[in-house]
Amino acid sequence: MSELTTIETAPIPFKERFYAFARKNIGLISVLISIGAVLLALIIGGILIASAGINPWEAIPYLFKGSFGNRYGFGETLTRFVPLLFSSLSFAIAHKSGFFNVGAEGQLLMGAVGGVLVGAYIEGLNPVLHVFLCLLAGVGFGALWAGIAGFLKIAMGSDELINTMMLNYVAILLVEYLIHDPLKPPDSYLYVSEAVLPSAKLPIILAKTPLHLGFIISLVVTAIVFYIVYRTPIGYQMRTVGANRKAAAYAGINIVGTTIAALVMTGGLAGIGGAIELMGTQQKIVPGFSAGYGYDGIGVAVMGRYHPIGIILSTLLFSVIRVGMGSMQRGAGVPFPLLNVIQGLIVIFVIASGFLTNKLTETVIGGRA
Amino acid sequence: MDASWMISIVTWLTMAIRLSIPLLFPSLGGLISQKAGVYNFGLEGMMLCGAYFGYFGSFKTGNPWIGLLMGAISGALLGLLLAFTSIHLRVSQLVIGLGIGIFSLGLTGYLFRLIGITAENPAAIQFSRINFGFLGKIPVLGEILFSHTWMVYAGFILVAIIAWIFYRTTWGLNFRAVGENPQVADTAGVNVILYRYLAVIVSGALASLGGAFLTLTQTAYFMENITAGRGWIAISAIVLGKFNPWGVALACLLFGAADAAQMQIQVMNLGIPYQFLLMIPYIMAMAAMVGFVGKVKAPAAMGKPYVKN
Repeated sequence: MSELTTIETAPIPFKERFYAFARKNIGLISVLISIGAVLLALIIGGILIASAGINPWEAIPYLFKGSFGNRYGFGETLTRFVPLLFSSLSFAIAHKSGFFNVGAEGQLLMGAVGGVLVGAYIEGLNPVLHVFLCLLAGVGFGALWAGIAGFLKIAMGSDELINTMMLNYVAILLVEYLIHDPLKPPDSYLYVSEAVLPSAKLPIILAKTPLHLGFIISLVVTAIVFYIVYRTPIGYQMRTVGANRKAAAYAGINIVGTTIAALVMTGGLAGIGGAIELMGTQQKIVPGFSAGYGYDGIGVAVMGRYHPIGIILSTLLFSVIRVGMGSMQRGAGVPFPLLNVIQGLIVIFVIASGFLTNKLTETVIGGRA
Repeated sequence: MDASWMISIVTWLTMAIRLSIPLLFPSLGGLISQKAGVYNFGLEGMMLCGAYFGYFGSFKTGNPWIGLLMGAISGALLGLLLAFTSIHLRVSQLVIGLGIGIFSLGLTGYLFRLIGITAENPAAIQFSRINFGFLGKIPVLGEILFSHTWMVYAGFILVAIIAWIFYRTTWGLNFRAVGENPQVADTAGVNVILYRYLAVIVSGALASLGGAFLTLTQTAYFMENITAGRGWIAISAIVLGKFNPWGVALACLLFGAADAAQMQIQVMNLGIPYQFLLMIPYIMAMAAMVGFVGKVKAPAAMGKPYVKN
C-alpha cells in the first residue's frame, strides 16, 4: 500500500521527509544533541589542556586508559559510579516532585555519619543484619538532614534551594568537627573517624579491583525508586505535585504528605550513597570524604534528562570522566579541577540544547510542519 | 567597661563593615537581576571568577586595577551567558545558575593550580587602605569608619546610586516594570529583552567585584572555593533586605557583623569548637529566609521568561 501511495503522489520534499523522520525519532535526536553537547564540552576541555602547554593528544588517551583500559581502572570506574548514581537519583527524584534539593553533598556526608555510628560502634552483629542496619542509618540520617530544609519549607514556606545549599556547608563543618573529636579513634593522630567493623564492610565483587557489592545495591535501588515513581500511587502524586502544585492541591492530593515522602526519598538516596561509599570504599570518614559527588549528581541528572536509563548512562559517562581525569592528572599533569569545568559545561550545553529539542518538538509535532 | 573590651568592640565593628562588602556587591547584583525579573543563581560562580581573575590580573601585572577590571569582565561574560540562556533560550534559571557555579569552581581551581606549579610565591598586589589623615585618628570612629580600602566605600555609594536609579529615575521605573509586569512594560514601549540583558550582565559584573574584593583587599592569594557559599548567602540577604537596596545593605551589615563576631569569638578561645562558629553565617542565612519569606513581596514576574505575543 505504502509503495503505491508513494508512486501516486509528487516527490516528497526533503523538509517533509526530515520532519517525518524527526517525528518518529525525537528521542534519538535528543540523545544525539546531548552527545553533541558532551563532545563540545570535551573539546573546550582539550583547548584548556592545550592552553596549559600540555599536548592534548598525549593527555586524552589517559581518559580512557585510566577508566577502562585495565582491570583495576574498570573496577574503579564502576566504584565511583555508585555514589554518583545515588546523588543524581536524589536530585532527579526531588526535581520530579517539585523540590529543589541541591543538598545531596551534605545529605551524603550525614548518611556516612549514620553509617559510622552503626557500623563502627555496634558490635557482634551478623554481617547481613549489620550491613542492612548501616544502610538504614544512612537513609535515616540523609532523610533527616534533608528534612530540616523540608520542615522549613512545609512549616515556614522557606525556599528549599538556599536552605539545602546552606546545609551542605553546615554538614561539612559538622563532619569536620566529628572527625576532630567525638568520632576520632583515641589513638589516632589523623583527623579521621573510627573505621567500620568487618561485619559492616561490603564485600568485593570483582577480585583485584575496589568494586564492591554497593554496585549491585545501587542498580537494585534505582529500579525500586523508578518503580515507585512511575508505577505506584505515591509516585503519581509526587509527579503531579512536581508538575503543578496548585493543580495537585485542587485535585485533592495531600501536598504535605507527598512532599514528606519525596523528602525521605531524596535525602535517603543521598544518605544511602554516603553509607555505601563508607562501607564499600573508604571504611572511615576522612577529610574530603565526599569529593563533590553531591554536586556532580546535578550534572548527571540534567544530562540523563531525569530518566532512569538516561541517568544510568550519564552516571557511567561521568564516572569514566572522573576516573579518567585522575589518571590524566597522574600521567600528564593535567590539574584535576578540569573535571568540574567539563561537568559544568556539560550542564550548560545540555540545558541550553534543551531549547533545540523543544523547538524541534514544537515544529515537528506542533503542526507547523 | 575596661579598655580591652572597648578594643574588641571597635575591632568587631570594623570587621563587620569590611566583611559585609563581599556580600554587598553580589547582593546588589542579584537584586538588580531579580528586579528585572531574572533569578541569578550563578552569583557564587561569578564571585569565584571575580576572585580568581581579580587575583590573576593583579598578580601578573602588579596592578590591582587591572585585576579588578579582569574580574569584572569575567563576571559580566558569565552574566551574558546567563542572560542569553535564560532570556533567549528560556532554559531553567536554576539549573543554568548551578551549571555556572560548577563550571567556575572547576575553571578557577584548574587555572590556579597551573599557576601554583610555576610560581614560587603567587601573591597578588592588593589595594591599600585610604589614608583619611586626621579623620583616621579620631578615637573609636576613626578605626571603624576610616580604615578601609576604597571598595568598602564604593559598595555603600553604590547602594545609594542603585536606590536613586530604582526609585527616582524613569530608567529605574522601567527596570522595575520589566520585572513586575513585562507585558505592560512592553506595551508602554520599554524594550523588555534589552533591560533584562543589561540587568543580568551588570549583575554578573557586580557579583565578581564581590569576589575580587576578597583577593584584592583581604587575602592577596586565591584559594579553591574561596567564596565558601557567599554567593548563596547573598541571595538570602536580598530576601532579608526586602528587595530594597537600603534593606539589602542593612542585611549585609548584619551578616557581616555575625561573621565578624564568630571570628572574634574564635580568637577569644572560649573552648567552642571553631567549626560551630564557622556555621553561624550559614545558619543565619537560613534563619533570615524563615523569618521573612511570605512577608516580602518579590517582583511579580521573577523567574518567568518573557514571551512576546
